[in-house]
Amino acid sequence: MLPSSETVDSQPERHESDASRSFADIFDDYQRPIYNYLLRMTQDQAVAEDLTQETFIRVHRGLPGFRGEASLATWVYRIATNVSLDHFRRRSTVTERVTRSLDVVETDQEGLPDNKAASPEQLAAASEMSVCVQDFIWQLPPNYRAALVLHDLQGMKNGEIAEVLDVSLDTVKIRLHRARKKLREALNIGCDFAHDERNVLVCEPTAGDGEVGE
Amino acid sequence: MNCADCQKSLNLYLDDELEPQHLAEIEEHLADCPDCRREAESWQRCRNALQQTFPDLTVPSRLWRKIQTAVKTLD
Repeated sequence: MLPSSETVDSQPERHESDASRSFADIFDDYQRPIYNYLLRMTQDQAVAEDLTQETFIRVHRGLPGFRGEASLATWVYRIATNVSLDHFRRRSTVTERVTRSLDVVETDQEGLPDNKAASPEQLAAASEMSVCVQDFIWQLPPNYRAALVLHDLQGMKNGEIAEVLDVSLDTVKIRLHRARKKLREALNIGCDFAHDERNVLVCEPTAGDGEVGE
Repeated sequence: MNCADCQKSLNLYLDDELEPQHLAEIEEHLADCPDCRREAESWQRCRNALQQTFPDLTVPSRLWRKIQTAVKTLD
């Protein structure tokens, strides 16, 4: 049985075509965005794989009861979000971070970046940007991290994020604003931005530690 | 529109979440105000940094096999 937060509220708009999709179709469409979402949330490839598996097991279990009251994307992302927040609650006393996504990029033959999605130049730039931004993202509370990742990396609109996180639109706007404000502060303190010879944005850590303040 | 109002709405502007009337007012102000343009560029730079840091990765093929196996045990 799904946790109650993963059941869908009554909404005027129904997505009945979504309700007739097979699990295999849903997996094909959502495996990649959900895996990347969970990787960005956890910054740990092994954990992201486990949480992706848990997400799709819950999708499989919940699919017979899914009636399209929310869009399929909202429903699947809501499950993934709950899975990740459950993970962080379980791990709340653990502060270690074993591996992070960009360590995986350098060492793992599977889970390689998609050449169509990320060019070698982009990956090089990602490595250069990684320390400042990854550390910042990791310092955010998980529900702020979810809002920021869903919007700026998964491409969701504020209204969709409100449905996924089961919060008001104003709450989404507040979380996004605060997370971005902190990101900008952290990068301003901790990084010197520049465009390199490829015209790619890169950063050099400065003497400041880039800690995110409240 | 003044600078304070413009800067309060810059993230919604960059998110493409503004109503047409508000959007037009912001664009008009940005066209005339270098300070607010710099502020918009600063927010945009943060988004670019975020997107550069987390490129889209392919899913390990072993994951699908693991999920198939897990799902079969539920059927």
